[in-house]
Amino acid sequence: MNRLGVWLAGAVLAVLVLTALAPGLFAGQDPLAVDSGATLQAPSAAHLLGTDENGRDVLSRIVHGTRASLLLGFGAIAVALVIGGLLGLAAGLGNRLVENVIMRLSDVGMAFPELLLALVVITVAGGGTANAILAIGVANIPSYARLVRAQTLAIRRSLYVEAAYALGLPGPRVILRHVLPNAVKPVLILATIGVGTALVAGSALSFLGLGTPPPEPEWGSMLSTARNFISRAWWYGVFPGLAITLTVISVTVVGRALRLRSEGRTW
Amino acid sequence: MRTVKFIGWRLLAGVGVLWGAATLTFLVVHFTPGDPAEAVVGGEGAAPTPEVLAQVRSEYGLDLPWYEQYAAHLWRIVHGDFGTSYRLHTPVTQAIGEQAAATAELALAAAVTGLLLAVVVALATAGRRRWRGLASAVELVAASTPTFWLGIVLLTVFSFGLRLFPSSGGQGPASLVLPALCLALPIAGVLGHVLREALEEVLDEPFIVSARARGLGDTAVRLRHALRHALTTLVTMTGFWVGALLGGAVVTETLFTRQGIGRLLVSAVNAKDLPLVLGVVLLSALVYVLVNLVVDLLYLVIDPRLKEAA
Amino acid sequence: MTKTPLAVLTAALLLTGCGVTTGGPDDGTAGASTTPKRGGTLILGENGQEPTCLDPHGNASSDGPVSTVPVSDSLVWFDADGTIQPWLAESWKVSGDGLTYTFKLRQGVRFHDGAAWNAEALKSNFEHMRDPATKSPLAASYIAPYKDGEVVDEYTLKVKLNSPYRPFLDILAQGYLGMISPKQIKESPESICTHPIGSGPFIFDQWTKGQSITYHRNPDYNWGPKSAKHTGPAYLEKLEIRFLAEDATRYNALASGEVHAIDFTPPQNVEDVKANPDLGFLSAIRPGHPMAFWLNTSRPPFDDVKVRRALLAAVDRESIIKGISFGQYQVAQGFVTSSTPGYAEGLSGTIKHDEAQANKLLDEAGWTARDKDGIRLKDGKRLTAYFPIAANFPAQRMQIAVQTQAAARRIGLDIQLQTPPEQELSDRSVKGDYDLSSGLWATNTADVLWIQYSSKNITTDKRRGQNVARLSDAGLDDLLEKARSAEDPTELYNQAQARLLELVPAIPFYDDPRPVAYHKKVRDLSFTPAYPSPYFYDTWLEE
Repeated sequence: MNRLGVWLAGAVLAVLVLTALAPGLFAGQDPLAVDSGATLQAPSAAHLLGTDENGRDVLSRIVHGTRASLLLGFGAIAVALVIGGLLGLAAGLGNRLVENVIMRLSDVGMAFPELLLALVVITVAGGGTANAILAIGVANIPSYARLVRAQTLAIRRSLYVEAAYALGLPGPRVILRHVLPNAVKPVLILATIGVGTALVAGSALSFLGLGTPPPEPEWGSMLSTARNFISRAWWYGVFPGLAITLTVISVTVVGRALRLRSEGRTW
Repeated sequence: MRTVKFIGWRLLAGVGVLWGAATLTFLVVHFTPGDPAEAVVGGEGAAPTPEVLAQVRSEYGLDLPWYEQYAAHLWRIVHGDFGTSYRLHTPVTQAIGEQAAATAELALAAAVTGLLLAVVVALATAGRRRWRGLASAVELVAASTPTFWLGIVLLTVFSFGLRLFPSSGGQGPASLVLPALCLALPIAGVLGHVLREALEEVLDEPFIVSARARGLGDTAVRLRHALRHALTTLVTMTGFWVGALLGGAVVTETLFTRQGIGRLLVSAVNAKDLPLVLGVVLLSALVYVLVNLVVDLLYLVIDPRLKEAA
Repeated sequence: MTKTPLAVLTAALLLTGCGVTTGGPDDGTAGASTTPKRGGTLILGENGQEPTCLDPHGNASSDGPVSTVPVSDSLVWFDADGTIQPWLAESWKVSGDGLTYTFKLRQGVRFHDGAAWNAEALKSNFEHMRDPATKSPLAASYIAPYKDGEVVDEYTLKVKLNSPYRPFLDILAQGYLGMISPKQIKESPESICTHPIGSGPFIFDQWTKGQSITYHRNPDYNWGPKSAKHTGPAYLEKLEIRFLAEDATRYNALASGEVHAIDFTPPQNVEDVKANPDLGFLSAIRPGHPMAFWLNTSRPPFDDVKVRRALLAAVDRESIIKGISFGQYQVAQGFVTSSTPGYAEGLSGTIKHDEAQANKLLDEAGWTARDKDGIRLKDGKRLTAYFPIAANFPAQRMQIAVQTQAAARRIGLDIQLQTPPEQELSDRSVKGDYDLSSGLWATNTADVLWIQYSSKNITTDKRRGQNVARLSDAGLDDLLEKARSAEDPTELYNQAQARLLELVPAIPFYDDPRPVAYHKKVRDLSFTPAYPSPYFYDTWLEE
């Protein structure tokens, strides 16, 4: 992976984050402005990426959909990281009983394929961005819990932690100062790559009609609708798809670069 | 002897996992709002009479307290009876049996395609400056493309456009090509990347250098020494690709109008069809347990040093 | 039964109206052979509404009849002109009080398992429909007035009803009430769902769930409906119905020749179909209730008729329907579709798009203030309406919802689309916890108005009903109840439709068509008009 690619990916991410925070900077039109008379129009000066089945501007909808789409990916991993991380720490530091209960529960969780678990969560909790985030987050908890536990165990047995205990430092302080940061850092880097996967999973949920409710724009649900009109409006299906793919690529490239650096290798 | 004991313990733990999965599923489906009787005979276009609703409730025991229902479901399953689907009016084993072959076929085709692609590309490009950049870029795009978008693109180009393949499932081997590719490409993208990194590490190892020094050709080095290493990586990643296959199957089955377990589960969950949901969840958990067992056994074969640890 | 004036009227309407259209003036058959050929397999691409059960009495799917009518014949045939014609019943007599129907049955009819068709068989079918164990989601309620049947002789059954029910015969013509072998009903009722045995022109072969149903010809068949083009067995050797849920896939399967015909042609492809000289097009408007958004009249804000009228006036239905159907659908003119017997044509054009009028109505209703978003306020409350929808809400309906939402916003009404879990959704619909709800109801009589708007059909703890608007209007109830027992209900239905246009319990959008596209080598494809769906008895393949 060359430097240029990583910088480029970083720049794309920066633009995406900016778009999510202030979509108005990038799209002048109202993403919800319906025009029954101008449905599925090809790209033109008035609508750079054409219009959708309700006559709304596709570019504006992609731009305004950035926030929901990114939230799906980052939010889900944040949920998984926080809950999974706490459980993993507890399992790694707690007594045998705690460890056993947590690990057996995570076994059960792992036994459900990720997307299916998310589907079950959605079907019982209902659609919507928040629930989709929760669903994908929950589906990822077991794997993060395991990762953090493994890290915790390794660190607990490491020399410097033993040394800290030997010096008589109080338990909680050792955990906060030494175990937590060292356990979380490598996991955090892996999570960056996980964001990409979660973004894809989130858009898949939207594709199945379980994500962000209409009329709010979101890339996955845009694609889901666009597939009905593929023979008449290629632009409607192509651009939101590109947006997802480009975002995931950027996140992955940056994540991989971070990982390589943490392993002491160059990009 | 050790191995047998190991397998025994793992199987016992597996039963625990199955029980946990069944319990969790029951609680979730049971304690969420909604009257399953409505789901069975209601919906748009339906007009169930009160007698019909009452019949459904009593026949499926929906009027019993939750713990009795839970016990009844568990009791049945322990005795190998998976019950009758509320919605399809057919035995759960039959309902799943009708769909399992299609999913297995798709998953198998996709797994073989994905693994082969990953191994071949990784072996061919590892350590070769010119090619690895290109392969890496393609893999990155493949791994980052959502399955359903890839599916739409494949359908539009190869089925609707060039008319090379049928657009829907179940019409012989030709109809398996696009869905299998759709499912395989993202997996191949991820695996290919990981594999090449692993291979490049191996290719720098002293024993490879010495092998080359003995005059072994590059292809021979790759096939004889590096491949073994590649296989270990694939085995390590089993959890990832089996999960990706099962999850991706839902979307692929929908898009390519194929039969399959994924679609079955989605509609069963929607209809609160508890016996069917339990059946599918148990099947998927069983696959998970068995796959993990096989993986651990494979480790023992590939790397005998681990036998001690087991 | 003799032709009633109603039937003549509807016949005239159908001829002048948009009942059935075919693929243009020259349908490309010139020079082609017109003598039907035997043999061949016809493949029909269906949409994704695959039934969960193939017992005609055990499903309510819109793909139910197309899948079960090949196997199971009906007691009577409903013709496109609204008349009832003999089929498995040769003749019938209705008593003066409308409570007794005496059916004389056709002789020599055999089911695929060899069982004979007779009065006993008809009676066991009625019993099967209402047996709670059948778990019938539709047929049971359609024959709710059925009391009992008395076998007079081998081929005569006297059916008694609890209350006069004039639409009884019309309903009996629908595929949902097709006849199943009495032997199967008696010996293995549980097998009907997966392997229905009837007396139809095709014998059920196999159902690959999620994919297809296959049938083969019944060589002994000789009891088709009178209006069929031929007698004797069907021409097709085999029939396959393939479920292709994705619109794009279904159309492309037709275009590439993977299937011979497709049902529910996606509207965006209809122009292409019509322009293609190799393809034919057949479409019928489904009788019944148009596709509509029902307004919950039992709670604010839609308990106020002015708010309902305001929303109706605010929505530019012409423009919305033109856009979503690519100019293919007919805008609904009232609360039954134009192909329904009893449709009040004189009332068409009553509903007008008038945004100024909509604003005026809301002002009158007291919603005068506006908040910063432009949403109207009354006593500090926002004018909000909740519209819960399912995850699998059809794309087209979603378009209508989104565009209606935009139109409502312009007059200061905030419609909130919600996607609760499937189960919560059905709970809320039972409890009446919604302001808007969408749907249509296809049935071949104007009695659909009783089904949808009689106050008897408001869902309660005791009873499930289809009065989704929860409308309760004594005047309307009276008209609809009388129509059920009237000799000629035309005038009563006219008045009911006029009354509904005042009450506005729904925003009717379009008359739902059943558009079928096919390759021209498929000949004599037709519809069962009782519940418009492709019918294959006369169909043959020219190859």
